Amino acid sequence: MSFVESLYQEYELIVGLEVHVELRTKSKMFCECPAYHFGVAPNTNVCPVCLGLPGALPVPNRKALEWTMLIADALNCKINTYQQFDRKHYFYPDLPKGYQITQFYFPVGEHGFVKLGDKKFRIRRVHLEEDTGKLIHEGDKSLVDFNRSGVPLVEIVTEPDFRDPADVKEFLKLLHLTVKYLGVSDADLEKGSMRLEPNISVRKKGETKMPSYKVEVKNINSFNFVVKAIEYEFARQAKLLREGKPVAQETRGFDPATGKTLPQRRKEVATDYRYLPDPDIPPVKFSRQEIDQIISKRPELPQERFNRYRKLGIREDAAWFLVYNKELADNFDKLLTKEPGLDFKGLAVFLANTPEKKRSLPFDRLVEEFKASRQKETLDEQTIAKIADEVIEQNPKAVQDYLNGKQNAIQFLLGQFMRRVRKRIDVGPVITYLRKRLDGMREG
Amino acid sequence: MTLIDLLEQLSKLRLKSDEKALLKKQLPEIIEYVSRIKSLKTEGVKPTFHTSTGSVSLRSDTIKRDRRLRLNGKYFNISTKQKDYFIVDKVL
Amino acid sequence: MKARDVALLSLKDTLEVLRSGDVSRSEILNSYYSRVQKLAKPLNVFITPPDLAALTDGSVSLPEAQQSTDEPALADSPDASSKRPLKKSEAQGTKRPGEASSGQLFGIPVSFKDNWLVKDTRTTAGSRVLENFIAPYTATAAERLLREGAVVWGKTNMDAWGHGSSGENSDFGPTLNPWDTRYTPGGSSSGSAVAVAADLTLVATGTDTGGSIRLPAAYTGVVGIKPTYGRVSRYGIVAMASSTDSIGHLTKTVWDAAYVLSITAGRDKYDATTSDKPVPAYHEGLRQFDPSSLKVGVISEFMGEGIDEDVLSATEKAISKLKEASAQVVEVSIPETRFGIEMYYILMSAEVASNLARYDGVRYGRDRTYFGMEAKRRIMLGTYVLSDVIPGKGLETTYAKVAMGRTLLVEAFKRAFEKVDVLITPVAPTLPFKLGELIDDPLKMYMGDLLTVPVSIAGLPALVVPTGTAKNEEGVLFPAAVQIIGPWFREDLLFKVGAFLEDLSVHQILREKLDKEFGL
Repeated sequence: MSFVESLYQEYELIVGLEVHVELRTKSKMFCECPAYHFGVAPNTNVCPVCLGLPGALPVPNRKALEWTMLIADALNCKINTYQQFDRKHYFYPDLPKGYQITQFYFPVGEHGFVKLGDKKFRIRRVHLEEDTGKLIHEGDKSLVDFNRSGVPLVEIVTEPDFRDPADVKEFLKLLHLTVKYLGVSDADLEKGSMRLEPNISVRKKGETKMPSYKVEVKNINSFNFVVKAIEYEFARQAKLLREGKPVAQETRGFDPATGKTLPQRRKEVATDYRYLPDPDIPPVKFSRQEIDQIISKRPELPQERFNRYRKLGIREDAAWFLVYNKELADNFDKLLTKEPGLDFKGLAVFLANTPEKKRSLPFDRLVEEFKASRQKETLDEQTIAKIADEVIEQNPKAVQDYLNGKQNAIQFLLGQFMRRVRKRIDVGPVITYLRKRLDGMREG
Repeated sequence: MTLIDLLEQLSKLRLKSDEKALLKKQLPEIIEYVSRIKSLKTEGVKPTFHTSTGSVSLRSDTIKRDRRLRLNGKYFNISTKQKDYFIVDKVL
Repeated sequence: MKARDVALLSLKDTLEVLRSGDVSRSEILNSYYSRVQKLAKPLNVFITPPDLAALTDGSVSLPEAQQSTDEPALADSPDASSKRPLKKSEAQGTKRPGEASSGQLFGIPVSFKDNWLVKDTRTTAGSRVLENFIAPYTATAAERLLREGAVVWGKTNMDAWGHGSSGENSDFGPTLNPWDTRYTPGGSSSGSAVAVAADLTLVATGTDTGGSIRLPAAYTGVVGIKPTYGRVSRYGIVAMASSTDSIGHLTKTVWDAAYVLSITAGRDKYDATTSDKPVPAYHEGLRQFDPSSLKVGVISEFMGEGIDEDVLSATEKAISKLKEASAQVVEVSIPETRFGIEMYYILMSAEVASNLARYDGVRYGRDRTYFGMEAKRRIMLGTYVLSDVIPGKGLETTYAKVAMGRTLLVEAFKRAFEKVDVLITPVAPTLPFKLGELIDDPLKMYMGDLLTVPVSIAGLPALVVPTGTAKNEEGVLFPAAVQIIGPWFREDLLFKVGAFLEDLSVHQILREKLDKEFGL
């Protein structure tokens, strides 16, 4: 047994997730500046509010709250009718007010769950906050750009229910997909509109108490890297524990080049966020009916789409394929309404089997190819005769079965015929010929 | 670490030694005075964080450009060398 | 009318003589300006004084015709070298497109407390942190005044960040009380109060978080209105305690204050705490008020121990005046006011610590080493209140505890206003105190807020009007005043009662005294 394998024997992995999703609202969370900031000239989407000028006041964006409710509901959370915004204080140059407006006491949603197969992973909370500015390091100075300051950010926190990195990956992929289905975010990991932070701890197998520490890992921008980071951390932490050393509660950064996590040099001051209900923002109250109305208008969720495809008779694997490839599925759905007579079950399978590089072809092209492949060729009589005679000669037992009264034997012979032909053909004439030949043998 | 040192660090103030000495004396007195509120019975009372009765405090998701600001040395601490960004000493 | 006399007029009378054509706008500004030149510096009224030259392009007379622009009037440059000649249209202020040719405050000098942002004016909030800060935008309340044609008439001195009740915490030196320059004029809107009292301006804006309009109004003998929390937008005004900051102003008469409030009040979509309750024309019908229908409450806790005799008698005199006019006077007890100071200083310092966290000198202004001593004291106290990591800290000195106390106080006032229409109380426990008397004893200074902070915590409106004069133990003559407290959004009632009680001779007394002393 390898060293790492032995660690897995003795120790158990515990992972909780913190995911941040940037909402693609038109305006920022608390002001009317444009929220879009990728590639925008620095400090051009700023105003007194998102720059933290004296006298500026925040006014919450209703759409951002509604979209957060959609996310929370998709994660089966209970939506709070009473919601509040709170100030979280810390000093950092990208935080213009010296505090971040977030939801600490009364978040949008709580106590939800996600099911993967028969495993259930609990969602602790879903809340809404504002994003910070961006720091760019240049030599011994840092440059600050506040275009991103104030952009609405949804934070999703799970309970530390994960024990297997594969589940973490699946969960994140489903979460990513759900957010895209809701249309509330670009959820682009590389651009940072979706950010992943696993919290990892380790305990001895059989131990039921939660570890007293957790290690937060930042700077992970792909699902595969999340798995790598978790695996690395598990080994690192378990090794320390086995040596009887304590594991420090800290924040570490993932290094994609090496697959390792490294301690971040930022000094950890006693975290004292001095949470304060924001006096500038009266509590937000929604009635249960208002919440239901907001949610009822939401787009179809991945699971719902899957169920719909299954009801149409589409094969399970093809259905999942479509669900996970939203653009293809969107085009697929459009086609369904345009050409109701189409063999969509076949198309679904066809698309699922299309190699990845071909998937980016224009959808119409793919459909054309599919239709073409469906064309049943009609073989000429000579070809049919030639191949059918071969098949009859090489399968005497089946022939005998047929002559003895087993009608189904002809299907077997047909199957052998198809194997030689290896394309879609009109089988009618083939069966006719086979019957003629075989019946002819009877008489002969 | 004394109370004053801790508060100084948390509030990111840098006190001079005479200021520190003064606060060391005055702050505990003030804290003791306001602590008298202990005798106010508040069990079961719901807190009021806002006295305002503003009924509509949310806004629609619209962009307005007339309140936007441009980085301008007249209003902001912008250096002539780097006029598109704010500059700080490198933080980690 | 002689130029000197014009500056004595109230806003109401000034508007009348302007309308009748007896006096021109330039005469108004010139007469105020000549008083500014004589009195502003000795009394240390302005942080940025009005600059008449910039306003008038060097010419003495302003054209009467109004041209519209979209920019508010620019008045002051922080330093002479960057002065540029203003366009005539800018100098005249603005009007809303489609408005009649004169705005409601056309040509009226309005001085702004220096925590009000007015675009392109230096806005310091009385602190060295913002000593060279030029406001990039204008506060909503200021915009509403400027749109009516008001002229920016300087930025007035104040306790830095609003922290203070005497003006002595200004980083630019204290403003002096014109009644006797050895005494404080009260704070934090000290410059605004003195500017109005000494006829250096017609209207001065202020903010009241724990008494900062009411106290200087009482100590200088002018009218001060602290509106209901949420009545006037806070957008663009340097925040002190966000849950109690009330945006108001100081004027010579109650009518003036009512008229100005009709302009500044109302919902602002940029301030989520403003109310959408309609704004009446507060100045109308003030004289039609009949006190016989009024039920006046006197808070027993505010009329006894700890309040000076002269202060009490001034309040009692005002109550008698109402009694004589057949008003009903009822004694009300509000024991929940007992912990007013404790509650206020816990709540306010927590919000102050939070609101001042943005001042790091990176984007604007100077860094945190430039905070004065009182600011540092309040930031540290507020950090203590909000923090979870202070060993030995009890549950009492927490924001949540005070929020519960606030509920009790609000309920208590609600019950009181079921019995009475308004409450009349003294404004401060003492007459004005000498400069330097309390500055080394911050706690003692805080106690002076005893009668004003419960109103702030509950978010109620209050009006201070001068009702006479009184001599202190040293025989120095000071104004006497009362505080009129009303139910939420009942400023209309306050103005009616205030108009009945105000003693306009107080202003005249000071005017004569100053004119003699300064040879005007």
